[in-house]
Amino acid sequence: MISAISGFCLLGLVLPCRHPKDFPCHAVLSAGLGLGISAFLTWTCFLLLQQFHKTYLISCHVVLLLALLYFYNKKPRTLPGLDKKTALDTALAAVLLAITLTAAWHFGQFYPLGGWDAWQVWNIKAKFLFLGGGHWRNMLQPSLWQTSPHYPLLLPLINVWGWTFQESASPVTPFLTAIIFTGLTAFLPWAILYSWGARRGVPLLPALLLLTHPFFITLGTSQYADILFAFYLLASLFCLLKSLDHEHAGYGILASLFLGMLSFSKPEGTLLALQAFASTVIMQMILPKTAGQNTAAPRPPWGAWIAIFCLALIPTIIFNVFYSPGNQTFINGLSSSSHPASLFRVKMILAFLTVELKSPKWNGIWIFILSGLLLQAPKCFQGKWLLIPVVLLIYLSSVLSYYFLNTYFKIDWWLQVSLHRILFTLLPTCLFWVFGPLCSSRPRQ
Amino acid sequence: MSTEKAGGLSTQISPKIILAMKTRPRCSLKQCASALILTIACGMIAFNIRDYHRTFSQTRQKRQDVPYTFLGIQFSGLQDILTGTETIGYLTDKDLNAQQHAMQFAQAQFMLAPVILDTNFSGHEYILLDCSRPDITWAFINKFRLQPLRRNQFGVVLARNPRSVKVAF
Repeated sequence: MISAISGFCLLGLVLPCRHPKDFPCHAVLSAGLGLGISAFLTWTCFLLLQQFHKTYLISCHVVLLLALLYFYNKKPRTLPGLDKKTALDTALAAVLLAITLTAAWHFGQFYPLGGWDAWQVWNIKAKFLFLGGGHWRNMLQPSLWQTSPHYPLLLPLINVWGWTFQESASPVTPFLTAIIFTGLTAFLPWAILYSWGARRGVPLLPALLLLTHPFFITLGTSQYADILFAFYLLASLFCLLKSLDHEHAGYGILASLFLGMLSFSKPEGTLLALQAFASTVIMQMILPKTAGQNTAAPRPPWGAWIAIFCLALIPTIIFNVFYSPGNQTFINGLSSSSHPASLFRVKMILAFLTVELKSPKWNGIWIFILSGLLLQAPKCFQGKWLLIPVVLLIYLSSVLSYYFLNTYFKIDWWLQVSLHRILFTLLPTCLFWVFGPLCSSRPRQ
Repeated sequence: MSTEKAGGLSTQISPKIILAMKTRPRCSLKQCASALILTIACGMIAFNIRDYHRTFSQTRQKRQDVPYTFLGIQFSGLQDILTGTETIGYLTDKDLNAQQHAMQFAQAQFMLAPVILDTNFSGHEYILLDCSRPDITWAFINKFRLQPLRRNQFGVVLARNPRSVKVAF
């Protein structure tokens, strides 16, 4: 709650909520933003005090909350009152999504400690941070290469923040984090499309497609950082799209913050954050202003954008420069004679990608996405919407190139255990890409 | 011929010849595509719910047949002795290259975190003995002259190594 309120105040300062229909979107983004900021604050605890310190962490949150509330109330911002229709729509959506999320909760209970990587990579780090005292850095020892010590710490830090109010490292907290982010990730497409004025039922479709998908729920509740990655990717791309519309300068600032959190969630997040930011800047310069855009809007404050993006990247940079022991599971296949990268790997990667996309476990959702994109081809690939394919294509090709380049693992095993998770992180964004152009053309009433 | 009542009087209205049929505007290709996407999405949600229910029932049945087990639980009940310890030795007669035992070792590492398990056990103050049989555990204890501290309900023994560097000084 503290995180969500902090996030809401910060969001209110950066981006005023001007329409009742924006409220659900702001609420979802606030929760994600607040948890990310809590993780950053927890990271400062380890940077400054070199160990977990409950009092420091709670004080930091209280000071931040008071400061945000002070600035929030300094310039009175009246929240738009929820009209009857919006309140009814929101309540209906909330009930529907709560029912599906309850089912997800029960499903997740079958695996209370999450998937293999949940405890071996993420939750073990959270335990080191929470219980390790001054020895938390032991988790970065190269001898623990199986725990991927070079992976950034956003998820473990959120879990540590959750444990702050408990005496022990209870497995309930990582489970709750997974459920919260699964709900937020599914709720966000609904909230965005609803804020764009789509018909009542349409925005619910991507949310329900996600929350009723057995494989999405399995991976979402597995307590991996992938669900955080999926949420922050969608949140940052939405804000970047809005910033391309020149609607409000706050979207650019918000996008920078979300990209910073994305970069701290997984190693590939850093790559994605950099390329998404660069792509937006390039598109901002290339794209002409269309008639529908607010031509009177000022030019985006580049300085503030870049400054906040760099600021949001600081936790990742500090981790990578001063703490990460480097990737212990990397062999450059191009220079290695014992593990060379061969053409066989390329064939395997492409074959696996094709097989994965049409695998029955996805219930045909990728075929639906590809068909949906083809059916609305001109709309999905023009104007601001071009940002999504640009970012996703560059990202996917980088990931596939990495599969080819790094010959440490046997390619068939590696693809088998990780490719579906890469696709899982892209799923909410891809669904948003299909349904977004359907709804964005409808004027808001 | 139609009759209209106005002010209680009925008046005759001459029939009109309809020259052009009023029709609904034809759906554009774009609208058809949108409708198709929305229909397929609804169908997919219905299919997902059915599949979700099936998966849920199967998993529940599986859990009823074989309850959820976490191999690392075998290493519980020893953490209180290890408070403040950074690394302990791990001594076993099991083949850690075998998948089952490697899995068990990884889960033990998670259970005992933030304590690190080191298979190169000799230099550490505490040694965890995880053997396939109790007699092997006692053989190790005698061989390396260890002082057993606690044996948990799963037969895992935590022992003190009097010849470790830390104990010696």
